[in-house]
Amino acid sequence: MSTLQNIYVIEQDKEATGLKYFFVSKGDADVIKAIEYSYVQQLDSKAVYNLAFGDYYVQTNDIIDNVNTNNGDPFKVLHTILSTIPLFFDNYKGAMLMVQGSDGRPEFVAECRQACTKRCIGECKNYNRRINIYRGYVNKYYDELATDYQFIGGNKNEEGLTRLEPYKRYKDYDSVLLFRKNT
Amino acid sequence: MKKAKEIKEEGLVKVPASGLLSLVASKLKGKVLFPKKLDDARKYLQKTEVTR
Repeated sequence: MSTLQNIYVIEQDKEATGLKYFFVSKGDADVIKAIEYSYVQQLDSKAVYNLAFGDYYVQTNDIIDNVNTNNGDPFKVLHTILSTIPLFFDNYKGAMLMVQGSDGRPEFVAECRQACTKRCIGECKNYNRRINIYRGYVNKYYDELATDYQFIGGNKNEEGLTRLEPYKRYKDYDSVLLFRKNT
Repeated sequence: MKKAKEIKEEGLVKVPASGLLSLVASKLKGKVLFPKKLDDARKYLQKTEVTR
């Protein structure tokens, strides 16, 4: 992740509660993107931080994390987000990072069906789409990434219990947690 | 004397991306940007079972 090419210039802002990054996506339009690493809780003696990402609108001062901007530069945006992960671990040595998609919430499917044009029959095709993008990256570069990072896969069941296990490549997860080895 | 060309800016100013991002960072300082996601993350980790 530290060697990713073709990324946007980022602005870092470190605060007591976490870390923020900003960059301008220069696709079909200029869109300000915000990345936030926020402290969640302790887990197995590690401080867990959550990674969140969305668009910032200067005119309205709003942050939106549930829209697909379709700005024509998805890989450059993804690579820019991923490029901040090693920076996060440089700032919070020994921490654990959790990644979930905003489209993985239980209420997402009902919300999506109200405005969706895909007319999905059965399963909602947008459900967990974002975490699947991150998982796809982890699966593709797993051998390389696993030299520096330990990955954990998470799934929440209907009883509200979240099962965390050592990450199994290509298995479906609704969250991915990771921490740096040897810190 | 030749009259200077009038430039109509219509209230817009051009700011370099680096300056804009610094401005955004200072505007959002101290603010939790994704409170709903943070809340979801807390709920997600409330009851966990770790398999080693």
